[in-house]
Amino acid sequence: MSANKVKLSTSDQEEFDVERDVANRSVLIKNMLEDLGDSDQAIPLPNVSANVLKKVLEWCEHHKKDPEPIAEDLDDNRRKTTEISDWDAKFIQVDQEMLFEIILAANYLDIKPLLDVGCKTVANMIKGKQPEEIRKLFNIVNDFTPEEEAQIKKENEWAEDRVRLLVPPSCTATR
Amino acid sequence: DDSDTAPAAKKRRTSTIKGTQTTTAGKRRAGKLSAFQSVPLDLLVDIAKKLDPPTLLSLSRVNKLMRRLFASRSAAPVWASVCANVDLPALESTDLSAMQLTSLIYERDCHICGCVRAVIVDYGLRRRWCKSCKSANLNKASRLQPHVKDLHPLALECSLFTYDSISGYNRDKKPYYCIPDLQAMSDHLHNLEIESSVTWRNYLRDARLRKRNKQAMATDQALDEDAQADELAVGGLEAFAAERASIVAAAQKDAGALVDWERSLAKSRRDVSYAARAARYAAIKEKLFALGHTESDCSYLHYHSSDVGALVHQPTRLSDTIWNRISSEIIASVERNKAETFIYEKPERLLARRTALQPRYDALLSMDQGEANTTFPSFGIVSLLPSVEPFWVPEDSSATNDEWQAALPSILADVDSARRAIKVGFARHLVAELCKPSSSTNLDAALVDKLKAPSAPGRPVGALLRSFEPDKTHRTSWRWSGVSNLFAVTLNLGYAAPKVSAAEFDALFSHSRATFEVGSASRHGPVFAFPEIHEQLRSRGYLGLAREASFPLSPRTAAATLAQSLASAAELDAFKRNVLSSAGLSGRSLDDGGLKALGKVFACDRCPGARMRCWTGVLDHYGAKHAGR
Repeated sequence: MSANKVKLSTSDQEEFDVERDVANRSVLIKNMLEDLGDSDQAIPLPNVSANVLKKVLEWCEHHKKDPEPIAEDLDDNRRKTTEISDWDAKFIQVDQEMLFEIILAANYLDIKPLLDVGCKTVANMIKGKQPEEIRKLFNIVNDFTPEEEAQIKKENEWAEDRVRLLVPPSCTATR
Repeated sequence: DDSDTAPAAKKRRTSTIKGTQTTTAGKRRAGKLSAFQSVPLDLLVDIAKKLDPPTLLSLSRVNKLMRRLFASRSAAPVWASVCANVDLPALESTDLSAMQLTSLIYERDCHICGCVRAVIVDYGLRRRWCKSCKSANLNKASRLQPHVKDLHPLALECSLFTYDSISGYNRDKKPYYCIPDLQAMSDHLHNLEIESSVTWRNYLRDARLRKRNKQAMATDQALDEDAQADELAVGGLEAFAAERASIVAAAQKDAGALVDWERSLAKSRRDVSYAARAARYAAIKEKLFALGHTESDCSYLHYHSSDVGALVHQPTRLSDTIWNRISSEIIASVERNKAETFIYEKPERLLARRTALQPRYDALLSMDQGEANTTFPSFGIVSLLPSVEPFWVPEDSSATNDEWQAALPSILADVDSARRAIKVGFARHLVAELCKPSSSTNLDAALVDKLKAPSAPGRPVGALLRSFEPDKTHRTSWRWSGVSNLFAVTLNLGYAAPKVSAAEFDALFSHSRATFEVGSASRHGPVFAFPEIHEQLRSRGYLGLAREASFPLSPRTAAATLAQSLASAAELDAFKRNVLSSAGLSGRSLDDGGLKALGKVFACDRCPGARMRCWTGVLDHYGAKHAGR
């Protein structure tokens, strides 16, 4: 095994030989490599399947020369904007299941920029949507009763005290 | 179970969103948690923090899990984060949650009638309402009397208010109140007053009863305790009022901050939209430049009203896909516009090429002296000579020095032909005048015959220009107005009257009636003989043709007209003597020719302040204004 190569073992027992620079994008793997020192043993990644790891490594390969990410607290723009670079946007064009798998893998492997891309993508998918549209998008069951829904909507309106307001006759038709 | 027995295909309406097949609410893949909900809580929070407030509000209403996550007090940091994403100002008010603020800003339902397009939001009152509901529920303090019953003295200072009147006009900055809110506050204050008082009185009564069991309480002390109870009740009310006043003050400050935020948001949206549109316009121009078009070809795209303006001025970034979709229409429009512009600008180019010949004309003119100079045709004529037209009329024509020098002999020959044609024109003009029945001049019939136009077509000037004439649509446009007078020039170089000798011309032009005025008749300006009249016409911007000159009104004709209105020849003579006398010329001969030669020395003695006139002019004036009166 070359000193520049690292062996990774997935949950479905598949092994990947990857460059150390690429593997080091994961803080988890980087720390493990530092702890293990030079070893031919494959690093086990029990929470990542082969097809997901392949996708994650594709991202790491493309971003292997990126500078270290700026501390989140200092990067105000990163928090505010949900813009994604063209390459990342194309990379993340996968089905929903794979998207969430990538997010979980990025979280497990501690690859913050990839996690950020995943979260931004999901945020962009949700943005501007109404509750029913979000339910449809993510196949979420609505467990509210209609009364509860009406109540939830009403209680968000600010009111110091519930008062009987005068509804003009011209407005009754627009309800 | 009906769903088990009934055919599923008929019962269910399905839709597919991004590859995920779903059914109506509550029927989706029962028993399997959606991938979104299987994401760990901290990641859900991370995703939520990247949203904007209205989307987080929607997310919190998706199901009970999301509600527990994002509509609880513990979600305050997430709400703070999403509010910061849109630069919402931090509120001073502590009684309005971020969710309520989000609802107030982004949800379009009227708080009163529930209509879905309530565009008026009042941050001072924290109400979103439609115009009708605003009119029905808003009023100022001075007009509350019939609407609010038993208004508590502290109700106004405890209630939220706005400066936004129903009409929007509030010069004196008077506060306006939501009447039902105010009524509720007033009722609340009354209740508070009663409750505080009653509770405290009951407490004291119980205490007194306990004491009476031990010793009799002095009446005075009991009265003091009653007064103390009242004071304490009022103290509780005042504390509430003070708290409310601080809330109202904070709400007013927040309202100002929110209005400023809305304005800055609108401005930044406009700026972003403008920048995006400008970037797209620039990107489209770059694409067109790459295809060989120039800045001027694309300049009309700047106008939103252009036929492809809707494709160009969009905020969406110009991707390759978009360009592939819209390029054919834009390119076709640019090429169409380019072709039209080329046609529209034809007259400008034509006149520019003609103007470029002016220095060469001036050089030719200055070479001739004396009569040759006087009779040298105007630039208007020279530019239309058959030998000169090819230097400027064709679209691709140019006039290099060599070409001009090579063509110079034929140009000079054409100039001579034009001189002759112009002279013949004046002669024919004069003959036509002298042949009028009123003229009583006997002309040589042979000379008249020699001056007649030949039957052959001859060589008209401007033939090439007329062949260049565009279609009538363009001729009528304002751009062609500078060229249209050139189309009207009708000098024929073939009308040279070759049989008329120089002596015959001299005799004709030395006739007493052979004088011309510049412009139309009866102007009574200076008169000129030929060829001086040509020079005068040329120097005044005319072409120098006979039709641009007129004959001064014959004194004899004017006198005859006047004589008709006078009783006899003796009266006419008396009239003439009066005119001469008033001009200080008594004793002069009454001969019309001699009087005419005196120029503008005559003034009408009946018109105070009348201008000086020539003899013909004064006769005309008397004939028109004073004869027979």
